[in-house]
Amino acid sequence: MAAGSKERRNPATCLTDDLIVEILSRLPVKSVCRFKCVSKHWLGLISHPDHRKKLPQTLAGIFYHTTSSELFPELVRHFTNVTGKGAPLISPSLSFLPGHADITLLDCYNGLLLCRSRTTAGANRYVVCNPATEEWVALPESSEAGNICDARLGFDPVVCPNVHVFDLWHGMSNVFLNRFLHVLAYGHGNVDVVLVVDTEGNSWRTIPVPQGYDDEHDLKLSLYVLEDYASDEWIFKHSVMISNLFKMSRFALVKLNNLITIHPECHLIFFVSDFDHTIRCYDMDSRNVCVICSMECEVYYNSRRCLSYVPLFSEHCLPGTSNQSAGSHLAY
Amino acid sequence: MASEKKVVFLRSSDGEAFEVSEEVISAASVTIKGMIDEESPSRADTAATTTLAIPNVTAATLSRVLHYVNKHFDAAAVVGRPDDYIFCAPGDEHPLARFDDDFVDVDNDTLIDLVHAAEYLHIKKLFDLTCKAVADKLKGRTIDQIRETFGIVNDYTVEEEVEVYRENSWAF
Repeated sequence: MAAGSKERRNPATCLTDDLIVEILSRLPVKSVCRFKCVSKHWLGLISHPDHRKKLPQTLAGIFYHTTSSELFPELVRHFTNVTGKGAPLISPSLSFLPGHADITLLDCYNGLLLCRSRTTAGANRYVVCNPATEEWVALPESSEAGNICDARLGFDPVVCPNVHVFDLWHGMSNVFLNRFLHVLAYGHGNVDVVLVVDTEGNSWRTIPVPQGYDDEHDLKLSLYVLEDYASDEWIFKHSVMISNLFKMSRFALVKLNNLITIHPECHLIFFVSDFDHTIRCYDMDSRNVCVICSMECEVYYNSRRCLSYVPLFSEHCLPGTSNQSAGSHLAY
Repeated sequence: MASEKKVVFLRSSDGEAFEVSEEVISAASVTIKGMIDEESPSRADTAATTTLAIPNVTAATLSRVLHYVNKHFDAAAVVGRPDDYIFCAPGDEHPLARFDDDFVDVDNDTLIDLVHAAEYLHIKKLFDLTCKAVADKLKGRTIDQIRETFGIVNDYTVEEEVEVYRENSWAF
């Protein structure tokens, strides 16, 4: 038979592991995580330390602090995987840092941690580290590092290799996004606005915050998205009664710092429940709440007590730093 | 001068020879540039053209690769043929974006052959283009379709499979 000589050929079966990883590295993180289910071999490829550097990453876990209930309570750092299961991806001791026992975590962004560290001379300074690669860099000693309320890390390896540290005098809700620091603040006439500041601390704009309407008997958590960043137009996405999040009948008190993060890839909100000391996850699609982990004791109260962590496995991402004091611009 | 425009012949795994400008293929393929550099001392003054064996690439794939290479790496062709620019939509950031889209609009087997060829010949631009095209094809596929495409046997136990699905349920 003439046609019989041409066997059904499938070149895809001949792809080497390196080529499969090259292809996976060009997929969105959601597809990569989905394809962990293909086979044990693919799970191994995707999880392998040599390949993780190339593959896109997403929310892996949460750093949190607890205090013991003794007279002189000690602050203890923890890390939970986002699944709440398995050995922690990152050891929360950060033992690769000199003086790691005496550091405070201030912020976490794009895989880097901003820590406050006390030198042997008693001075405070900032240390920026990558817990996945155990690389770190200390910033010059700063008189601000010891007494500011809050500090924020700005870092986008795709756009610019520099790391920016913002000193914030007011402990207001803030986030670094799209190369700008965003701070929730009171504008004129006591209306909430989002204040946008660049890494030089000089050019800024304000974005009005959508005004929600609370039910008379219950508080509501509402999610709006600024789809077109250039406009001030917020798109309503979701809302949920606070009582449904905490499974409390009425008047559940919720503070802004109970919210940890929204999953970057899917409709999950992570938050702290103070009633039973748990980290919980709310699924906006199914409207179900599940417990990620139990913190088992009092949570350290501080606006940055829980930090969401997306790993950065590529090495040498800490080439230069610039300490940018944005305090004067934000103190109003 | 006769040596003004040197050419080399590339012989595919199934024995077909293709003529290509030495300058163009050297700019495109690290592998072939290496082969030419190795050959050059022995053929410095001979008029004979070089034929290089490309044992890993079939004629069908090699002719596609050379079509790409001539489009992307032959400066004279790019400048001299303004038609590519005319067909380029105003929003296209690259004048050959339309050509690239058409180039990778082929069946899976052809595309994977191109990935293998681009890797072997070390043509980075083509490798990036074809890997991205394979990734785009895979993006929306189900787990079963992926297994079928790559001839993968599911080696999870039932319990393990339930667990890995549960852990990554957010991605479905």
